[in-house]
Order: sequence, then C-alpha cells, then structure tokens
Amino acid sequence: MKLEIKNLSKSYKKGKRALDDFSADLDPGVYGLLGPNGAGKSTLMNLLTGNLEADSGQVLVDGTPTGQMGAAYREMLGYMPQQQGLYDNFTALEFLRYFASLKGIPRKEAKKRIDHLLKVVNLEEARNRKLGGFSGGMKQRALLAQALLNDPRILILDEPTAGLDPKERIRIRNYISEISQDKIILLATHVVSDVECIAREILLIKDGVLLAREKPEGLMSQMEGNVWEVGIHGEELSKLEGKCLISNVHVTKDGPRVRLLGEREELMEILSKCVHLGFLLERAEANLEDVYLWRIREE
Amino acid sequence: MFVAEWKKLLRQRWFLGLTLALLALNAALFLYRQQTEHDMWLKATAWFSEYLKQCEKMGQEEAADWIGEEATRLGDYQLVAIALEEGNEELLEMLKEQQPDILEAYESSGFAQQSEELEGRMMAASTITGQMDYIRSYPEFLGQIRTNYQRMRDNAFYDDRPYARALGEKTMTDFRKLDGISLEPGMSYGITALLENTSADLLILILVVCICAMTVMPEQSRDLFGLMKSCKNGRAKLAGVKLLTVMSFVVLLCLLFYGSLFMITIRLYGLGPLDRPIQSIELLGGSSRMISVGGFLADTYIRTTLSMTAIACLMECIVICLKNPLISMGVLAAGGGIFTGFHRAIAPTEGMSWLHFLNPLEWFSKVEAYGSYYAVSLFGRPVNIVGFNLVLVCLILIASFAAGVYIFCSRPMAARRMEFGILGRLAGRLKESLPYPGHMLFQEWGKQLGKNRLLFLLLLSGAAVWLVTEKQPVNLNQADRQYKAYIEAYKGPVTQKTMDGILAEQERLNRLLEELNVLGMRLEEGEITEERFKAAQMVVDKQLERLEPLERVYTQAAEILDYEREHGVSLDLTDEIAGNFLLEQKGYDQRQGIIVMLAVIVLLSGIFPGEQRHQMLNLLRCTKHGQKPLFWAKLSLGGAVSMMVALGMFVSKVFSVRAMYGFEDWNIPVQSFAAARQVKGNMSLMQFLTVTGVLEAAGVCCLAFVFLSLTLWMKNRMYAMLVGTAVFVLPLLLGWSGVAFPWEYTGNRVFFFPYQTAEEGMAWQWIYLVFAVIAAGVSIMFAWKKYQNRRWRWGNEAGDQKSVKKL
Repeated sequence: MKLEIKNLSKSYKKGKRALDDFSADLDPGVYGLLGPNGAGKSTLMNLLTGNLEADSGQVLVDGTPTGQMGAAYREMLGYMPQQQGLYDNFTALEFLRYFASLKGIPRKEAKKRIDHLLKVVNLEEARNRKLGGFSGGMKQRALLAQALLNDPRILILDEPTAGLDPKERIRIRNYISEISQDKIILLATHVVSDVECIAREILLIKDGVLLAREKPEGLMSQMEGNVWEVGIHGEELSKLEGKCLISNVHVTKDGPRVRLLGEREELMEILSKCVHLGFLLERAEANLEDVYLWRIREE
Repeated sequence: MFVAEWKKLLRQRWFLGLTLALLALNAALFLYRQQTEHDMWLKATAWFSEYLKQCEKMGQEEAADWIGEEATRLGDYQLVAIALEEGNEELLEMLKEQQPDILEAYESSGFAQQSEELEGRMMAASTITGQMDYIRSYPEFLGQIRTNYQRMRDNAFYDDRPYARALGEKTMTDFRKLDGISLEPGMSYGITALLENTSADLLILILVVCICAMTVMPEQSRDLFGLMKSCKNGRAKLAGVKLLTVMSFVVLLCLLFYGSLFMITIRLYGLGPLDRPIQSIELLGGSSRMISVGGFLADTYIRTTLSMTAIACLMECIVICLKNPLISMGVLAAGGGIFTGFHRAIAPTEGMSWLHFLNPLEWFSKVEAYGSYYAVSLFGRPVNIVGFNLVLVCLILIASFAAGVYIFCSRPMAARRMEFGILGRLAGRLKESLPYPGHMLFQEWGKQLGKNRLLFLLLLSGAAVWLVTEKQPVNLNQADRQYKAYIEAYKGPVTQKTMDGILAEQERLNRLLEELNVLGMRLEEGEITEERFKAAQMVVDKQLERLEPLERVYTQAAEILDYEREHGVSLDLTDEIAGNFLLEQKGYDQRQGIIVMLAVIVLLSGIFPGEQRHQMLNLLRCTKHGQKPLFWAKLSLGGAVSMMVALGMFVSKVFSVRAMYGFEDWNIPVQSFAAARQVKGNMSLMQFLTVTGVLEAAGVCCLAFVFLSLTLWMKNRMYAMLVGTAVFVLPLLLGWSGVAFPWEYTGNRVFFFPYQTAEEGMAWQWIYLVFAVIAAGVSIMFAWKKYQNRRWRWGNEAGDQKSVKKL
C-alpha cells in the first residue's frame, strides 16, 4: 500500500498559509512528523483525515484519490487527535463500542478488538469507569484504543504519548512499533525521543513546507562534527548565546556544561576561544533533538 | 480587571448582535403598538397642543365651557359623517331636528373631506374635556378620602381592626399633603404609552439571562475557574468584578432600551409640562406622592433599573452557585415560569400583601407599584409600596452580591466525577453483560437518548404537555348548558324531521309565553291572585330561558340543512362549542406552538453542539459511518423527537376537548361544524384532525430540521437554545400577545393547520408545508456542508469532481 500526498496546499481565512505545496509518498512504516508549533502538522493531519478541504493538491491511496474513495478510505483510517474533550458520561467500554459501530465493525468482532485493545492500552481495570473521571493520560490511551479499533492500514497519531507516564509511553511506543509492519503510521510529536527509536523516516516541517525527509540516522549523521560540549563559566555563557545555538545546559559538579550546535567554521572560532580560556571541550554525538533544533533554526 | 471583563463581553459578537436586534425589536414593537392600538392618539396629538394653547388664553371655567362645546360640536359632526356614510336617514333627521343647520355647518367646516382631522380634533377635545372634568373633581376625591375615613371611624368599623385603622389614618395623612394642589391639563398620551409598555422589560430580562450565562459559562465550560482562582485576584475580586460587569451592562441596557422609548415618545407625542404634579395625569391620580411628572418618570425608571440590576445580580449568583449552566438556565426558566404564573393569577389590587410584591415581576408594573396608592401590611403596620419595594430591591441586590462573591470564593468550581468501590465495579460488569445494539443508528440514538439525557428531557416534555392539558370540565353558563342539552337531544344527521322537532319545541315554548300573557290579562281583570301569577311566571320564565339556546340550535340546524341541500351531503348536528375550541382557537394553538417549539429546542439543542463542545466532530467525521450516515442518524432522531412532541400536543388537544366538553362525535363529517364548511371532500372529524395533525407534525419536523441545521454553527448548547428561542419562540410569543404581522410568516403557520385548513381549505396547508420542506431542505444542505467542513463552490464542484476522476 502507498499513500501519496501530492502538492497539498492549504490557506486559512486570514491569509495564513498553513501548508505550502506539501508532497510525500509513504509506504508501510512509522513516520515521525516533527515541527514547531504552527508548522502545519495538524493541518496536514486534518487534510489526510478529510476533516479539511485542501486548496489544491491531492491525497491518493494506491493511486486513487481519497475523496473518491469516501467510506472505503475512512474504513482503512485510524485517527487519534490531540484533544482532551471526550464524552464525559461514557464509560471507556461504551466509548469504544460507540466508535466500533461508527467504524462498521460487527458486534462480535468489536468485542474481541475492544477486549484486546483495552489490555494493550492498560485500561482493562477502568473499562467501566466514566471518561469524565479519567486523567489526561488515561484519556489519551482511550483515544489510541479508539484509533486502533478497526485495525487501520493508515494510522494518524497526533501527540499519542502526551501526558503519559514514562512506563506507559514506552509501552505504547513499543506497541506502535510492533504493529507498523503492514501499516502506514504518521506520528506527530514534540517528544523527539519517541520517534527517534521507532520512526523509519522523519518528516521535518516548518511554515507549511517540508524541510527534510530522512531516516533518523541519516539526519543525525549530517550533523557530525557540528555538536560539541563545553564546560563553561556562568558569565561566559551569556556571551555565547548570541553567537551559536545552545541545545542543552546541564550543571555538573565541575560547573555548567553546554551543548553547542553550529557550522564547523563558526564553531571552531568559538571553540578556540574556549581552549584559550582553559575550558574543557568534548566532541559529542548528534541526537535527533539537535537535528530538530538545528534544522528549524537553519530556516 | 473590570475593563478586561467588559472587553471579553464585547468580543462576543453574537451577543452584541442579539442586543442590537432586540433593541430594534423593542422600538418596532412600541411603534407598532402606537400605530395599531393608539392610532387615535397619534391623530389627536397635533390638535391637542393647539386646543391647549387656546384654553390657556381663557379662564379655567371659560376654557372648560369652550372645550366642552367644541367636543359636542365635533361629536355632532362625527354623527353626521356616520349618518351620511351609512345612509342612515333616520339618524340624519334626528340630528336635523336638534340642529336644523347642522348639515350645512358640517359641509362648510371642511371635515367632509378631512375625516382624519375630525377624528383627531374630536379625540383631542374630548381628552382635554375629560382632563378638565377630572381636575375639577380632584378636590372632591380628596374630600371623599377624609369622609370615608371619618364615616368608618364613626361607625366603629375600626374597632378590633387595628391594621385597618392604621391604614385609614395613614391614607388620610398621606393624601392630606395634597390639599390645595394645583393640577393642570397637559399631554398625557406619551406618559401613558411609556408606562404601559412591558415589552422592553421582557427583552431586557432575556438579555440579562444571556449576560449572566456569558460572564460565567466560558470559564465554567472550560474548567478555567480552578486556574483563575489560583491567581492573586482570582477570588473575591474576580467575583466582584464579574458581578459589577453584569450590573453595569444591565444599567447600559436600561439606558438604551428605555432611552430609545423616551425618544420615540417625545417624537410622537411629547411629554407635556414636566413640572406639573403627577396627579394631573388621570392614570396616576391615585398616587399620594408629591412629585412632578418629570421627577416621577426619572424616579420610576431609576427604580426599574435598580430592580433589573438586583434581578441580574440574583441570577448571576444562581449561575455561579449551580455550576452547570444548563441546570442554571433550567432553574431561571422555572423561576420565571412560576413568577409569571403568580403574576397572571393575582391582580395587583387583590394581592395587598408584602408577599405579593416579593415577585420580581411586580416591580415592573410601573403604574401599580410607583404611580398608585398601595400600602402593604408589614408586621401589622401599613407601609407604602414605593418605600417597601426600594428597601426590598436594595436588600436583594446587596445580599445577591455578597452571596455571589462568597459562593464563588468558597466552593470548588471544577469537580470531577470519580467512580470507586465494589458496587460501582459490579454495576459496570452487569451493564457490560447486557445486550447492546451494534448498529451505528441505534448506538447514536442510544447515545442521545440515554447519555445526553434526551429521554429524560422527553419525559419532562411529556409531563409539561400533561400539565398544560385541560383535564377538568368547563363551567358552562346556563345558556350554554341548555344549548348542549338540546344538541344532545337532537344529535345525529340533520333532516326535516330534526327541524320539525326543534320547531315543535319552539312552539311549545311560545305557547307557554302566550299562556303567561293570558294569565297577565286575567291578573289585570282580577280573576287570579298576584301570587298565583308570580308562581306561574316563575315556572314559565324558567322554561323561556331555553328559548335563546333553542334558537341557536335551530339556526345551526337550518344552516346545516341548507348546506346539505346545496351540496347533497348529510351532516350532523353537533356541539359547536367544542367545534370552536377545536377549529377556531388560534390563541390556544399559538400557546401549544410555544410549548412544542420550546420542547423541541431544549430536546434537540444538544445533538450537534454536544459534539462541538466535546471537540469530537473531527474524530467522528473520519470514521467509516461518521459522515452521511451519522449526519442522517442525528437528523432522523431530531425528526422523530419533534414528531413525537407535536403528536403529543395533538393528542393533548383531543384529550382536552373530551375532558372539557365531553365531546365524543369524532365520526361526524367535519363540515358539520360551521367553521369547517370550506373543507372539500368527505372527511370525518377524526380523519380531518388526524390529517391536519400529521401535517402539523410534519411542519414542526421541518422547523426542527431548520433548528438542527442552525445548531451546527453553535459550539454551545446554551447558545443554541437562545438562538432557537429567538428565532422560533419569540415570533410565536409576539403572535400570541397580539402582534400578528409579520410573525405569522416566520413558521408560525404550521401550528394553525386545523384552524387554517378549516378556513382556507387543504390546498393552502400543502403549500405552507411545501415552503417548510423547502426551508428545511435548504438549511439541511448548508448544514451538511458545514458538517463536512467543506466550502461552497457554486458551479465549480462538478468540474472539480471531473478533474479528480481524470487523475
């Protein structure tokens, strides 16, 4: 199966261009959608789910426009939006039953799927509790179960791990990775480490434009030699801030340790000054967070 | 903070739009009433000041004589105009006998060509004459109060009646201050028009409810109070600012609404000299207050504004207290209903108790509360209502403000429901094991009926319908009872035999009358005693009471017989009183319509806004059945619910007519009723009612679709209900209160189907229904696009589809 996004553009009423000629072909696997707030991630997801109408461009599944496919497209679609508003007076079970009916799943099959998914998202104990009494993380898990009910071939997840505790986050992340063999999973998140381990490719988006589409390793390798860690004094730190990008500052017993990103030439100048001042330098491995920060700044 | 709250309020454009719309409506209603009910005042206004100027040049007695003569002269001219218009020679001769040259005088006056001027002058002259008579008799009225008090005191009326004594003394003392007061005639139409206006109060109250909801609801629905209360100024200060915002907005509303009425009144009539005592105006003649007209107007409207502010404060306090906006609105609506019920049930003059004036609606009866003399018993002491009202309103204002702030600060505003315990778990397991419908349609209906409490609201609506259903037999007067008895006696198809029977009964009664005449003659000749004559007269009189109902039955039967002969059909003699209730009570149908529409709005208001509120539309839309099937499932539920309510109301009407008049002739031809002779075709009454009832229900269903479509643009159930009430119920209310045009064309007509079908025939109802279906269809079309979140592209859509296919 192939999901083709062709020259998708979308503007809002006040003239803001949310998505600008966005194109991407997606095969089964997990795709991490990264971008700052207002980059166009939610717009893209709403266009993919048919909740918004594009100004131009198309979304095709195996060559057929999704607009023509109608219910057949929605049948293969699973969507988990980023929201906290659910039906407060529904129990988790009733909520999933309701969505099973909307997804046209026969009752017997729905029962099996619901039982299985409640186990997966660890809500079995809370199956008869009202959603109004759920915590934010529990609501997220109920929403994820809803998205997986019809065993979708295209799964669109908007911040699936937001509000989850680390244990649940890892659990959900692993499950997503497990089921990604025959599914196209588009996962938008701000928790870069979530996609770092499971994403086949990263789509980096800013101001509605696709900045980069690469494997995580590829993106990180492009940053080789551009990431350094320097032990530095407090007063010197403020001088550095305007000159290069600081991705992290952590305080050790020897003093603050700063993670610097930058073009090699620019960095060398700064680093030589640091050496001259007697600061400890260390070359570091780039991670996806560094890539994200660097590419976003770059534009 | 105060400015910030105001800015927040002004950002609600729909509310500003509603305020402006109601402001325009207020002015339109006032003007409409002046044009329809007080058109004579409008005609008289120009001449009023002219006459008054002429009177001012004369002495009091001379002016009274002159204006009196002028009124008589104009009155005679008016009689001449009527006689000429109707060709009434007898009246003309009589007038000529009294004044031989009246016809010439009338023609030379030029009023023959200007009848409006005659009417206006006549009205102005008679008003000034009335005012002068009233001013002349005012000292007598004051003297009467003293005399009454003295007479009652001398006749020991006050013995063992301490309150009555105190009231008598107080009345005398209060009115003694008015001795020697100098009253003067002047323009009073404007002041009367202003004081009798109540629609402005009602419209402001509607906006007060909105504003109370709006200052609290946005935070309540988004669980923001917890956050706000954690800020430095987020408790008492925030609550105080919210209450102050509401109060200041209410003051602004009062200024706008009452101010616009003042401006229109000044433009139409003027207010006359503002420095004359209020007793100069007959409407306010019962007041003992020493105050000028200008002072009274200012005082009354300041008090009304204060009352409105106190009510707003109390409502805001309730909204804060109840947390759930829907429940708050329910409580406010129930309170409004109860107060209106009491207001309508008890006339102000009857309720001379302080309890009566606890009803906030009484505070807006401006003439009764501020321009009359009412004293209420407060712990055995008579207290003037003006002072009592002021103290009460101020107390409510202060108490509501304090309570609002206290409740806001002390109560948690965002409680979450949690379920714990073995019982909860067991109940959950049990519920889980029960069978459930797997189909989307049933799931959706189940969700709306159960989870969204539609079923509960439906049962409540059923209870409301049952409450408004008349269940007691009507107390008919003697003539109507007799009429029903005759109808019962001659019931069935009308034939010559029926007519003969009625005539025979008529002859029997006529014979009795003749016999009584004979007895009268014998009494004159002294053949019988007076006692015997009186006894006989009593018996005959009793019998003769039947004559008028019998004639009514005879006329009815004769009309039916004529119709039968003309159309070759067989009709029945039946109870026209019940027929009148079934087919001619437009007011009753409008009342039913108001209840039906209110029920439909409350029931359906949550269907789409509920999804919007929970931000679920995006999620629902991208499921397999989440688009057209779900949209139609929701619409079908709306249609079914509205049909149920409308049919429930229809059944209620049928039940009412059975209970009130004991009517059972459901199978007679509908044309048996005089009101339904226009109906074509053979149809029994039950068939006719069923057809029109179903058509009516279909019309209500169309209105429900229009409402449901509108709700797609609302993110909040409360707004949906407010908009629904403004669009569908307000026109009905206006129609009910007598303002006919143009409200009849806003969908109201679907509630008059039996009435209209009887009057205009069935074809028109189909046309009305077709219009309703078109309106529903168009609104559904727009709603469908809105539901899909798609733009309208006139003409381009097909092209787009083609290009998509090419790809």
